[in-house]
Amino acid sequence: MQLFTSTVTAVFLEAAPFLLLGALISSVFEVYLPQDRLEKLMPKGRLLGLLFGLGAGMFIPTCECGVVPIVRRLLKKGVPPQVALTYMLSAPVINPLTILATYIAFRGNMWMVLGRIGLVAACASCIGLALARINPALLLRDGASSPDLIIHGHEECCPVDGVHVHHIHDVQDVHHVGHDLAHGCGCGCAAPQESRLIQVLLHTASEFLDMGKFLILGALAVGLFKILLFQDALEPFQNSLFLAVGVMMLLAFFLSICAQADAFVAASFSAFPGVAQLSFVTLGPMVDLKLVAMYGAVFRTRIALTLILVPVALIYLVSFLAGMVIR
Amino acid sequence: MKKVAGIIEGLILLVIGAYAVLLILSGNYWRFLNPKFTWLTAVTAIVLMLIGITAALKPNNKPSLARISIFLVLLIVLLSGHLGITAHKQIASKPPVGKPLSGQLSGQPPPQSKPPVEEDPFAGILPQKLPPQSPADQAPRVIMDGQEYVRINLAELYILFKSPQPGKLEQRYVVRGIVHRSKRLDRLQQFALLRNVVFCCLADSFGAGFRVQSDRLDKFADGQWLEVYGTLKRSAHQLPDPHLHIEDMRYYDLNESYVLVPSKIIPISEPDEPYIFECRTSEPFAY
Repeated sequence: MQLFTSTVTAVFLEAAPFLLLGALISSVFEVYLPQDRLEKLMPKGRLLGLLFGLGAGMFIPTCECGVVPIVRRLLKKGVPPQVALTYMLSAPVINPLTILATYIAFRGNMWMVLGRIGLVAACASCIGLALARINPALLLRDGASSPDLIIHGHEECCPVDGVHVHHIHDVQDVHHVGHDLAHGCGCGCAAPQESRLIQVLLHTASEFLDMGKFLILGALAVGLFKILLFQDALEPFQNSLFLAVGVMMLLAFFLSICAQADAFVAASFSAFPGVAQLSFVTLGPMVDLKLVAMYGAVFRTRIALTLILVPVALIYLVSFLAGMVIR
Repeated sequence: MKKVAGIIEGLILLVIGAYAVLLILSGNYWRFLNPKFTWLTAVTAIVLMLIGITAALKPNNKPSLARISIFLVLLIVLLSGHLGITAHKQIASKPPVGKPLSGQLSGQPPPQSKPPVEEDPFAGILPQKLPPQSPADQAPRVIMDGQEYVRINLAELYILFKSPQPGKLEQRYVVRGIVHRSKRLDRLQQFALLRNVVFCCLADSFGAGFRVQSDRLDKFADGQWLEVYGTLKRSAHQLPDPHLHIEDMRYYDLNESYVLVPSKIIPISEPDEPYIFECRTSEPFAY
């Protein structure tokens, strides 16, 4: 029981600063940045946007917990998916801290460092490009009711999860939504008459509570997993490439370790093949228990499934094939 | 009702922030996270309290019972964790169970009859519980029985011997760790000496260590803290999966190629900070 409570406490305390930072940045975007300003700042072309998203983590490093609320806000503000989603998936890995941690954990093994960056970039690019055509707000679970969307008079009908977003029946509906959601965030916080600083604080509180509940659920699951699984249970899988890669990916999913620390844990599984360790460090920052809960809450079901299944399939395939070639 | 729920949401944030501050002040922070992140948690705690107060004074008009419930579960877990620490402290304050041993015959064929345990020259001189020492206070090397030993922690030694440089094998080392035994290791007259390494938080911790050769396994019990002086030699045996079931160390990595051959073993109490938080690659090591 002590291990469970300690693990849950540790996971929460470790992730809380980054979640809070994400909530704070998201709130600053919401309160201080007008809708069109951010859109204008973004690169126009898809390829350029993709590269921008991949490289943004080098300048705005965030962990996987903190990046989700930021990206939710970016998408609401109209930032294209090839920028926002690519940033969300790649920033936890393609940033100076994680790259350095990977280098140290694997004792200067550049193949592991480059493999991690390359595989994460590949997953992020695939998803970014695949979803590039969709209106950013429509990726979000609450996108259909977003006042930003209504104000912009979004015309095209993009059925995502079977929802047609232009079903605003009369002016009264639009007015009601706009009034209820105050400054447009939809979280119910901050009356517009408050000063901007107070708005940011209230918004941050609401965003932290909103995302924090998924972090807690993830942390509880991680704690449970930690007390149930002993290392020797993994022994039968380490000699089969087919199973080793899968097991390490499952482990990355359930352990939900922060991207900046997971390389050290992966390196400790020295009996597993290198490609299995690679699959561990590439999947974890994109898909784990905490993130699945957050994806499910933020994105529409199909988008959330895409964010989960594409990395799982791609990482498994590449790791397995690379393992076969190395053998 | 909505207003009350909104106020509760603010108060929850305030309480979490206050908990983090108290955790830092209580000196128990290291039990969950690497102390190098203390400043980060402190800043987070202050911001959480600030937004908590603001949210309580200007309650959200869309409070959620679901998130209140989940955050209340978190508060219960935080409280349980705190109570667990208090209980652990009481257990850990008990004196060590083992007796000091010296002149180990490890690495030699097992004797037909067990020799009597030698009197340890440091028994009665070394305190039962080593006084707290910060790495900066310690000399990088120590003289024991006329021999010089490099102070190093198990994770540093583990990293050093992943790809050992020439000259490292001749060096004598002193390390501290916890004994873990299993039938498979017993058959080789070895036990595992491990120590938890925490890079960020407890969730990413794992045990790093070496096998220690000893023909007096009966003197060592699971969970016992030891200070081991000795040298490393290439293992004659392939490392079997040791099948260790360690309650608070679910993942561990024993060096496969090298075994610690002790010249002296001293049972010690649990150090004030039993985890390894820092790994250096050259002297002075963090120990």
